[in-house]
Amino acid sequence: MQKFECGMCEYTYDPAKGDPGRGIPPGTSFDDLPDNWTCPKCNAGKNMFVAVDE
Amino acid sequence: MNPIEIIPGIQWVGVLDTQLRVFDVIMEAKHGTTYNSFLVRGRDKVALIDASKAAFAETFLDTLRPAIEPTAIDYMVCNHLEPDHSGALVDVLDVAPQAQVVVTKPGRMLLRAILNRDVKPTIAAEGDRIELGGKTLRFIMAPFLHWPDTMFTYLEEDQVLFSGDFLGAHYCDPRLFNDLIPNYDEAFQHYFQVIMRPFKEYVRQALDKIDSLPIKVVCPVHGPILRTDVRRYIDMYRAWSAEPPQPTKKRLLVFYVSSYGNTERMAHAIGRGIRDAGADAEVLDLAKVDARALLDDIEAAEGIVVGTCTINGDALEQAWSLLSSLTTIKLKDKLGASFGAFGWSGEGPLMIAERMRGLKFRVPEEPMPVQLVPTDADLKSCEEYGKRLVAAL
Repeated sequence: MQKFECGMCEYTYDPAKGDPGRGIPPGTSFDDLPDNWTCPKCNAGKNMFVAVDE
Repeated sequence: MNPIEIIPGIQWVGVLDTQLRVFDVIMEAKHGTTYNSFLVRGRDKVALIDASKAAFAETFLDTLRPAIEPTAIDYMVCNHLEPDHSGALVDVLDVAPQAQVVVTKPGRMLLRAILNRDVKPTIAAEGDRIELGGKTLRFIMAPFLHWPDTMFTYLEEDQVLFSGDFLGAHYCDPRLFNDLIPNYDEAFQHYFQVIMRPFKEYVRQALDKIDSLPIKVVCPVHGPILRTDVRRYIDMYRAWSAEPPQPTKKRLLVFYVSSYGNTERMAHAIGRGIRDAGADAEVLDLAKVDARALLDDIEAAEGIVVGTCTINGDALEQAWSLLSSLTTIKLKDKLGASFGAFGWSGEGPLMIAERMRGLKFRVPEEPMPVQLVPTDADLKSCEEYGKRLVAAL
């Protein structure tokens, strides 16, 4: 699944890992993250993320 | 003001804001401030480093023009894109459309939202250089000092560090250089506390990066330019950004505000419970202490417990004020809990718990309420509450 990188702090959201610290189970695609989900590292909003070129 | 030469080939072309007393609506700035901008002239190319605030765009361009015809600027370097240094960027680019904007990768995203027009910036990465002819700009990434896109620009030949907000101060003196003005350590420290303190970890990383650099002059974007005792200022940052020693015992601070002594008695009972469970507790009356003076203690503690009674359906101002003073310290995963005595409704502690969650405290226990005068059984429950908080650490 497509990974997304935070444009502010370069944290990478990996759908395979999810964000278990905040109740996002592994296997959740970036699109399926709630709209109010924020970067676990710097709190930037979802709209600050860009798709990572593999 | 007129342009001022810092060393040959480098001029200050900034703005003095003598009237400012509160910065960004929230931060006291009793000495005013400056928005420093710097012009670096090589044999072949010219770079302008950082712009100014939108409200001062005209003043800024008036200072810039005697130094250089804007159409002769080759690079517009933005060390970070906070609006007090990028607000006037759009005005600069209007008169210097040829100037190549240089930002970091995160800066590119912010640039779009600042200018609301399409520009193709040059992206500076760690160690990248721009050659101006006998003057080489090297870029040093300094994320989160204090914006995510921050970098420093280092002029190699002259050993000048353009440090953005880092090592700056809200202090306005037209004499500009630290050796020409009275000691302003207080403003320098206040600036660190309010702006850099939340990012101590990044401050340490940046200090490590510049440690081996010879630095003759530091040019921050606010306040005096440092050209003597440069090391002394860097050492102050080193000391202030150091991690406090880890206490041997886990510690919770119990704050309370109490109208009739009921919440106060609950606070002491919770404190007893915490101590019985083997942790340290300090019980503090918010009507008597200044929470802002306790930030180091709060930061070093495992968490805080806040007690407030309820008046007219709300927590008391002192409790809100405590929670609003915590923005400069790292709260993530600290334990938060609340309690309080009430007359008939008791919303206060609930609101405090909600706010704590919003601030990213970990709130493992529901608030502890007691109606009016706590009974012995209530106080016993408070002690148990304290013990449970320690168990949740």
